[in-house]
Amino acid sequence: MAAVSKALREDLLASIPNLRAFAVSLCGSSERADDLVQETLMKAWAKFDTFQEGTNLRAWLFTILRNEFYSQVRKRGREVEDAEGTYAARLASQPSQSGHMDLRDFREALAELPPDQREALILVGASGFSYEEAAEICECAVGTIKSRVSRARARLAELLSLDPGETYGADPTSASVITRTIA
Amino acid sequence: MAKSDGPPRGKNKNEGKKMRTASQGSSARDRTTIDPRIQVEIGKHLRAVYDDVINEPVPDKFMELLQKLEQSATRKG
Repeated sequence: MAAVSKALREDLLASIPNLRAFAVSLCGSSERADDLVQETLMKAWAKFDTFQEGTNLRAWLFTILRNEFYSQVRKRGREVEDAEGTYAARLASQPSQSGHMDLRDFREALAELPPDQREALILVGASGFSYEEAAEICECAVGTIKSRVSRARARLAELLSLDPGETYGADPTSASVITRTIA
Repeated sequence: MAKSDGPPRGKNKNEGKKMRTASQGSSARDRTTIDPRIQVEIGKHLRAVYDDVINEPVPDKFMELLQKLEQSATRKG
């Protein structure tokens, strides 16, 4: 393959944390996610000549990673059943580093979303892609992404009992603080 | 977090009612529109989950892989 420019290599390196985070959200475990990222880097390297420098490298890499994930899912057959069955448990049991916030309930709720909704929500709400970029990555219409994202949010609000008329807040600690404050 | 975010109880009852009516109004227009504050809350949690992974150090194997790919490209070129 043609030589990869230094700037492009730096960008590639800088994208790894984001790719890993997206990969974990797709497959639910960091071990599988790292295999997926590794495969993505090799694929990207092999076809860097098809990448137009100056266009969105991160979206390009995310597209490769996502395609790789779904082609693995298709290939694995029986293993996938297992993957689907234990996805929720794996994602929910991912260790949390942000000790200040209990995210377990949120992870569990996130794991309950249909994969296409979770994926859309992550791309727009966490990875920082626009609806248009997310649509490109998922190879679907912008409207489809928009509707998946709003359905995902509505479902999460429901699962986490985030009713605007009721006690507001996802964690019981702050909820009880509010209750005490106004009591 | 504002006081009015609390449950409708005691003298805050009316405030709670008002809020509920407002949210019903918006869901009548579009079933999937949810309270903007809930969107914010979901966004915060989402990024916290995501950033847990972002903030992990990049495993050495990725650096090694890129070095290997680079070396093989140099050899070929």
